[in-house]
Amino acid sequence: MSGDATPLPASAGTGGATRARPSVLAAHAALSVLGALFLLGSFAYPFTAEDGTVGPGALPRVAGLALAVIGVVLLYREARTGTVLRGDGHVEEDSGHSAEELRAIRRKLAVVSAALVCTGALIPFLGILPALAVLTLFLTIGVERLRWPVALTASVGVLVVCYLLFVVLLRVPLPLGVFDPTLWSAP
Amino acid sequence: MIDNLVVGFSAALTPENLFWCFVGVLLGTVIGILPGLGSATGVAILIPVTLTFDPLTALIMLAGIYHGSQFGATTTAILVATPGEASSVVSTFDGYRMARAGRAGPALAISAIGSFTAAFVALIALTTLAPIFADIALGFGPPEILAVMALGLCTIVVFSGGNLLMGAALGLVGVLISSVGVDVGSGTPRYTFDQVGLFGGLPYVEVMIGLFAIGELLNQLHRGMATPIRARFRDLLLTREDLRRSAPATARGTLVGFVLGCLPGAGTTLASFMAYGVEKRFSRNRAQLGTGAIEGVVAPDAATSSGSNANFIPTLVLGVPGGATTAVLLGAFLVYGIQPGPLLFENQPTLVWGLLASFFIGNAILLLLNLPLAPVFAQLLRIRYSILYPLIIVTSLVGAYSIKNSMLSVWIVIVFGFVGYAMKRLNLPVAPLVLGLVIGPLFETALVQTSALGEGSVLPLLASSGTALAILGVALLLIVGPAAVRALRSARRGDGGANGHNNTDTTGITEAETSGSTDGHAANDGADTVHQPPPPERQS
Repeated sequence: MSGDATPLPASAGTGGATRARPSVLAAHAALSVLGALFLLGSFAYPFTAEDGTVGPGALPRVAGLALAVIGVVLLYREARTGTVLRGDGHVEEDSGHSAEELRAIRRKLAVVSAALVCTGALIPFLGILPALAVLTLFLTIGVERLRWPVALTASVGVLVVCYLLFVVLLRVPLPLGVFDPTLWSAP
Repeated sequence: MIDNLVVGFSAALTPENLFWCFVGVLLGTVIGILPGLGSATGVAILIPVTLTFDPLTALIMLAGIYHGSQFGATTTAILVATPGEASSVVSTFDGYRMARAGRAGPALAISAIGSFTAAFVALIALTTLAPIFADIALGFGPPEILAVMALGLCTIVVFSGGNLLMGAALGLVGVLISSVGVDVGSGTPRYTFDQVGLFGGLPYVEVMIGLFAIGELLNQLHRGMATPIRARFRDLLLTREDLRRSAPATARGTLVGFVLGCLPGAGTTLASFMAYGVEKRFSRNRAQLGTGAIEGVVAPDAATSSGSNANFIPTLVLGVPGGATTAVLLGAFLVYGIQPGPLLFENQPTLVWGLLASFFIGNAILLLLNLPLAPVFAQLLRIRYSILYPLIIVTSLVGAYSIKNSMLSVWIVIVFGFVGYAMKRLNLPVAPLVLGLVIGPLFETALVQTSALGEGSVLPLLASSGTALAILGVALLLIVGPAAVRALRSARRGDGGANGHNNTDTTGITEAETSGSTDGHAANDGADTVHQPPPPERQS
């Protein structure tokens, strides 16, 4: 992809297999589609303003078109020649893991990603600091299997430090969720 | 000038001002370390605290926050690839690699020394030549600024690794993302889907936190988590070789930062990216950039520091803010009843020279504070990643929320965290995307202004400005220069056939650039899997 996975002819002799990778093809297709979407969307705005100056549609139209075209070129190139995996971390690393390790890694990534999204959804209800303390507790105990005292110390520590820094020192109005006193003091 | 500086130092060196300068620098460092809370937000948040102060004391403290946060932002960029500000994104490329190689101490120390040196040189230029640079900056109208922004976009070439097309594509993605929100020219909301939260656009700081902090974190989880770094004490110290290599890089970074810092609106982020680009072209060790080269740390940091000081030239002399933070500081000036502009130096000499003197003092405090602390900060890497990564998530999300007190910021961080992770897995360079995102709005603003100036035409105005043409010439050289040099060399050797085919791909990358995959890693920041950073240098 970038410098270390530069497309080269198969005869280049770098020792890596030259083949098109589905994930790379998907990435290039996504770039092309993104460009096309911005290009189509730009037609809702004028290319030039009434006085002839550059309008709101100009930049997204030009950039969207360019991205769509470049995406297609990249897609074509990858499909045709593939990429020599010169130092490409993607495949080499994965090949260094056993199937079981790979499954464990994927499971952990899925759990952490889901935990991130769930935390985002929880913040309006629990408040940002309690939600993040719960996330820390979950990650340290549920995912990393750390001992309870360590996990609790990390969670409470992060809660206290963030409270002192953001609320006390910088006076950032963080969302309190159900812990908001105004919610309970309302008649 | 000496008389003025004496007046300034006598005003700044009171115990009260020294104390608040120290507090400002310390607070600024903490604010910079927190992802999202950049110098502009930090200064804005703390202006109300200073309302009861004497104006000079208040401005000294706020300037201390500004300088401190610029440095603090680099600390987490180097240690955990979590840039506190957009301008410290570049520090992740080589700084993080140095840290992973057990050289976090030298990376942090050289960052402090480079920043101090650059600030010192920039301040001397600021105090002696401010009016001259202000005149030059005043000569930069929309066409010239447009040319500068075009040059900035062309530096994508440097950050594209070997694959120029991919770099261009990701730069365009950045530009397109930056087009979300209210259009600068007409005030038309674009791609906002009637969501008021999107009217201000997709904020690049949140995008950056997601791409770098969360993206790198997920990537580390994929790789089986980084092991704690247990560096020996001597590896935490700078070597003579480090200092020797850093000197020219600091000089180049200082120059680039100062020139761009003088220009209203160019900002320190562009300066740091361009300083890295200059290193990729002119450094003796350019092949090592991206693998943990010290030049890749010191040059952008010097540029940021020099640029943040030079930002005060348009602010103080013209009353035009040089960047986001100086815009907030300009507001603080007005709050205290001070009108920045050409007459400020005449009407308020004690205040202006006192403030300038406090910059010297603040930067010295910053160095004294951070140089001994560099090895201490480096101990952060001894913490097990299973404890460290939940902390990175927490500070990233709280920091992002506090930028605008909006949940949208949190969601942007999460979404772009996944995007960043995917980009790292696919080995896509992140830097062009950030560059496009930062420069996109500046480019469009300059384009709209130039077109308004030319009543719809842009090219005649560009063609009529010698400065703009010269800058565009440099931009063109940046793109075609390496290919032209290569063509000339191979023509001279007379073997441009088979070898040229093998060593040069369709994107125009040279064998030297691909060997060791340096470019790709530079562009790709923390995706270090194959290339081993150089071993620690011998201690002096």
